[in-house]
Amino acid sequence: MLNSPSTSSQAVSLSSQQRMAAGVLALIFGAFFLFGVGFAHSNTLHNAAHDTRHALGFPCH
Amino acid sequence: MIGRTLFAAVLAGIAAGFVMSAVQMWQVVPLIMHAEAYEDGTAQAAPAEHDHDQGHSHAHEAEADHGHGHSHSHEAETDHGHSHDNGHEADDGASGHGHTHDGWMPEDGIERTTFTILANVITGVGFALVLMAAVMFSGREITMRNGLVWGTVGFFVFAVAPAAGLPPELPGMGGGEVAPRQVWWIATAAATAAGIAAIALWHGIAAKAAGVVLIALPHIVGAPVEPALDSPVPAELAAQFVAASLASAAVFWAVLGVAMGWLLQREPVTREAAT
Repeated sequence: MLNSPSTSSQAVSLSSQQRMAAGVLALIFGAFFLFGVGFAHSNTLHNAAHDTRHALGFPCH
Repeated sequence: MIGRTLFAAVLAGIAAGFVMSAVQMWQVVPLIMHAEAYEDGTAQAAPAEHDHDQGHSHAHEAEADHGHGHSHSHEAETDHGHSHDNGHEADDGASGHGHTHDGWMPEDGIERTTFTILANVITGVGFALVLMAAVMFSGREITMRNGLVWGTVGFFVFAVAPAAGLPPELPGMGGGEVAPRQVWWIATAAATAAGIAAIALWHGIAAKAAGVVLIALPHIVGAPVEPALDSPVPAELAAQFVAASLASAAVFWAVLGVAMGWLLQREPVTREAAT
């Protein structure tokens, strides 16, 4: 992002639409990671992340 | 632009995940290892102290003394007596609830530690992205100065509020079905986040009151807990674990909030977006 002298700070900020888009994307990816590590019932995922689940208080067996 | 913002969240999450891993390996994981000896029924029933290395040697001695008919006595040397393998049938009788760990699992030692750190870092990235989403939706900024406030909000949403109904549990303590507790955990985090947002972002007494109700509601409804009074894990160990777990989460959220604020306030893209 190039800041030309005439560019105001507003012009380089995320618009409210962009903020919503970024928020939705972040929420989807974040929830996906958290589900895989903390909540998925797959035995392999559970066993791999076992200590993390306990340590962070995710409900675990 | 959006990509840079998400990238900043990922970086902050990785950093906070590593810092949390250090605290966790030092303060939390030894308690998990200790509890697994009780879960397995191989620790002594009433140890006088909770030194973690002692806990492991108890496990080995008990294994040798009692035998317990476990088929995996050869593995006890490397397993530190935890029950996540073929020995778990015997565990059901001791702890009074079905607890099975089937399939592949990492070997104790480097492999298990590596997977735990990996899972911590992925969790860190996950929480970082969710925090970033909250920043984006709120219309407020995150900076190095207020990063600790954002981190504190995350700590209350994802650690304190769920722990108030479902205290972090050691292996061998779990009570009841997992799925209803997971639903309550997620619903509590969501309601707490919504309640804090209502109080912090909306004006008017009605919004504040609605926020308080949202925060209190999961605890009025109550968590789906079955008291695990028959747990073989000593209460002192469980109490230590809850404190250590919340402490490590507090460190994680503090580092995450400050790191994200530091990274984003250097990004011109979000510096003044709140207006």
